[in-house]
Amino acid sequence: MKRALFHVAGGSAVAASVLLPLALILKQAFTPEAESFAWPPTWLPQQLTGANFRVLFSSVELPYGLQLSLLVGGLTVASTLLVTLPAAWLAARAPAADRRLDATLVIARVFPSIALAVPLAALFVRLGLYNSPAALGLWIAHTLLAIPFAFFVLRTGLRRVPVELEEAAQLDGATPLGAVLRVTLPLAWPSIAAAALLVFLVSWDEFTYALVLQVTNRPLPPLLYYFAAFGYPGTASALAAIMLLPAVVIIALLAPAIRSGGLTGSGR
Amino acid sequence: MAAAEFDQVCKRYGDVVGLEGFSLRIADGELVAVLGPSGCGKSTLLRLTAGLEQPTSGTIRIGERRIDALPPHQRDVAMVFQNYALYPHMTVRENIAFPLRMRGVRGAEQQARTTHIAEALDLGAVLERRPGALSGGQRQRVALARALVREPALFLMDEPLSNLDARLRLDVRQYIRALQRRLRVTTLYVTHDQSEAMTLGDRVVVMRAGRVQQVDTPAAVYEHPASAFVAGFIGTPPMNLLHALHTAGTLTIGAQRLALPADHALRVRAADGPLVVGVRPEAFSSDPAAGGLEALIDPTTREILGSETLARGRVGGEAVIVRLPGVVRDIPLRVAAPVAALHCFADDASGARLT
Amino acid sequence: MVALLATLLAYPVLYAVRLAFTDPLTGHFPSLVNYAQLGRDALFWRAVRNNALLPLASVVVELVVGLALALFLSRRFPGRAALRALVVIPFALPEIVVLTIMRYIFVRRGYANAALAAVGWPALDWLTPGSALAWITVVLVDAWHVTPVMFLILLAALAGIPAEIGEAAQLDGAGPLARFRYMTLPLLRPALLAAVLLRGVDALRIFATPLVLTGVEGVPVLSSYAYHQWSDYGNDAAAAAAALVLALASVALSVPLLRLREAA
Repeated sequence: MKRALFHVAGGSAVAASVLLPLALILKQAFTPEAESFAWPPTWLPQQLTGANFRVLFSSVELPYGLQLSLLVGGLTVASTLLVTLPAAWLAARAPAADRRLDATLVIARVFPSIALAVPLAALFVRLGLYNSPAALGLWIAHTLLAIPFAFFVLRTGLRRVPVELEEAAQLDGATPLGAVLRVTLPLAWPSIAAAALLVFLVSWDEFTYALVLQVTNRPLPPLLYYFAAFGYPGTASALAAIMLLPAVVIIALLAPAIRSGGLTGSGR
Repeated sequence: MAAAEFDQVCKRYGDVVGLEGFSLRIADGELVAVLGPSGCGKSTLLRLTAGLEQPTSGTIRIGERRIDALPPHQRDVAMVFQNYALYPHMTVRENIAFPLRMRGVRGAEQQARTTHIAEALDLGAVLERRPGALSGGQRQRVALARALVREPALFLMDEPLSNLDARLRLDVRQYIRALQRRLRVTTLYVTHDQSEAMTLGDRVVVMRAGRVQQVDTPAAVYEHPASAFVAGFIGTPPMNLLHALHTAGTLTIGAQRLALPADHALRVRAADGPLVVGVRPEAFSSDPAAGGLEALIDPTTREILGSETLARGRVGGEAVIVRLPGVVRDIPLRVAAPVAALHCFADDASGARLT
Repeated sequence: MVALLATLLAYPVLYAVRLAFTDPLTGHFPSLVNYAQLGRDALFWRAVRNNALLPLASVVVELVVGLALALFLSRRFPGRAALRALVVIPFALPEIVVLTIMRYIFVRRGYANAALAAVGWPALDWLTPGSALAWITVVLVDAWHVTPVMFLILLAALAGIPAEIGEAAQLDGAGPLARFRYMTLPLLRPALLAAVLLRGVDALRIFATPLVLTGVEGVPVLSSYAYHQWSDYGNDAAAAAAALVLALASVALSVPLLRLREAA
């Protein structure tokens, strides 16, 4: 009995500390601005409204920022997979290359973004990619950022495909590349999908590069920063809710991979 | 050391029966082997005894003390786990000393008892190693030492030989037997391997689906199996089981009709009707004088194993295995088992012995 | 492939090195003039100090909370699976969303002070630049966001400890505390070490949390200092110089992490 009480109390405390902040931001997103400014603030919504979202979508910044975030996310997924798949395959098959790749990408994974963002900004100014309306510079930066994330997921997935299958395909007449394309990649499909989702999420959430490289043509994260600092709580909260949606969906899809440790960088 | 007693112990997991009405008295210093296929409830029995699970009903006593509601560490029960459960981060010495340490046995006494049991189990040379650096046999002995060092009232062993390779298994079996005799520690030994149960157990408990089928000495379990299940489980190969019909002193098996002696239990009880007849593979012989139940052998199935020769045959429409001693090159096409060697069981779910 | 990846990552770093060691006025290379300027800036030294202490405090909080959560959610009870999924949510949220939420909670007229007022306590200035409380708020918000990572690593490590080990210890006479001390903790040690190192290096990059919650000068860290130099003064060179200090620390801390992975 005492044990059950402990579980209920502990579970409720954990759930509340996670859910309360989320509930508050959703409350602010769906209540009128006046209520968000009230003191003392309301814990439960007094009046529900979609006005904050209408304001957002009638602005210039939000549709543009949304478009930019989706564009950069999509492009980053494509470019990251293109670069990382061969590297991850090599790492899964050749232990010597794996050691060097692993070390390089661990460092890349923990490397401070600001130390790349500043020189990239200076570089992009010269190349005309800085603050680009199509966020081309940001796309390159996000690709660099996402490569390690994709690498560790893909390597885990490719390692699970036995090398004997590739060898058998070659004996059956496939070229080495054909064996990888027709046998290994289809079998590693779940991890490729997981890597794609993760990369999109990394780009969607990314704040530092977006803040530094896109000063006026802002994707959603710096736009939210700007709204939260200078805008109204209702519209900022509505934008936060919009940003939450794909993140929550993707994390739910990735849940099995997260639990297996492949995404936290803890697996080797 | 103490006797142990189980009285009507039951364990249910929702609707699933883990153990049903288990009653048993283990004498002080006795080794009882619990034998059965996986899922028969033998592991549940061990875990209930150890206190890792709680019985749904029933009582367990060690000596005079009722223990079924006590937490594991208050039961004075030690256990050797199937995979040994050695503490990987501790040396052999620390592993063996751990139960003493937890009971507040410190300093010189801890040292002396640890060293003593380690010497007794031939572990003196590896005391400072970690379990990861030991061979399978050594790990097994560390697990034994850790369980024995605190001189438990009851000693539990959960398939302790199943992780050893076949050759080592025979050695360790002998070793455990000798050790248990020497220390006279009351032991409950769980296994699915009948040769382990038969060679180690003072008595054998055969279990099936949570229920006890038979509790007896190894010889009695072999010679007088209490049910068709026990008959079909014990022996390598196990007893052949055939469908038969009893009518007024005559057994009909396939097309054969065998007259039962006047004092045969079936006749005495006048139990007419279908039944199951069991006959051990080694009960058959090629001696024409043997008479009784005849089997036709398929000579192409002959397997010469050296000390014995196995062959497959038929009694009516049913398959039997026949075992003849030594190397038999020219397998007889016709073998027979005497009527006295036939076991009779009820042809129902219980399969209870009739004779 | 390795070479291509290395080039892709190395080129901007080399460019940063050139920026940091070039005198922006004369174009002279190599020059330490940028670092001399940083050395004279009190804000830079505050950033250095915070960049050492904030990650340390954050990792300690994450470790304690993450371990407690992992131990709690290793127990068997109804609703455990749902709670396990729930606990991971903060990490699933975009950082800037978390910070937006937290700002509304910790501003002067925010929910935290409303909760205090409800129980009759005075309001606190959770985010006042330079205050000790603001520092603590930054640590707590950062820990709230990333503790799930620690939790997941430790939960997996706990699941990797065979149940028999705990059962054997129970039979050997160990109560819950003794089992934690003599079994769980030592067996968890490698995972704890890996998690602390991983999170430690990761935490060095702390940027948005202090920037969004307290502004550039509130709780400065090296990343926000570099951003400040670049964005407010247009000083590429000073920004690159400060960012390189951080990069160096990050690579240096990666070495034991890599050793650990080699050993694994």
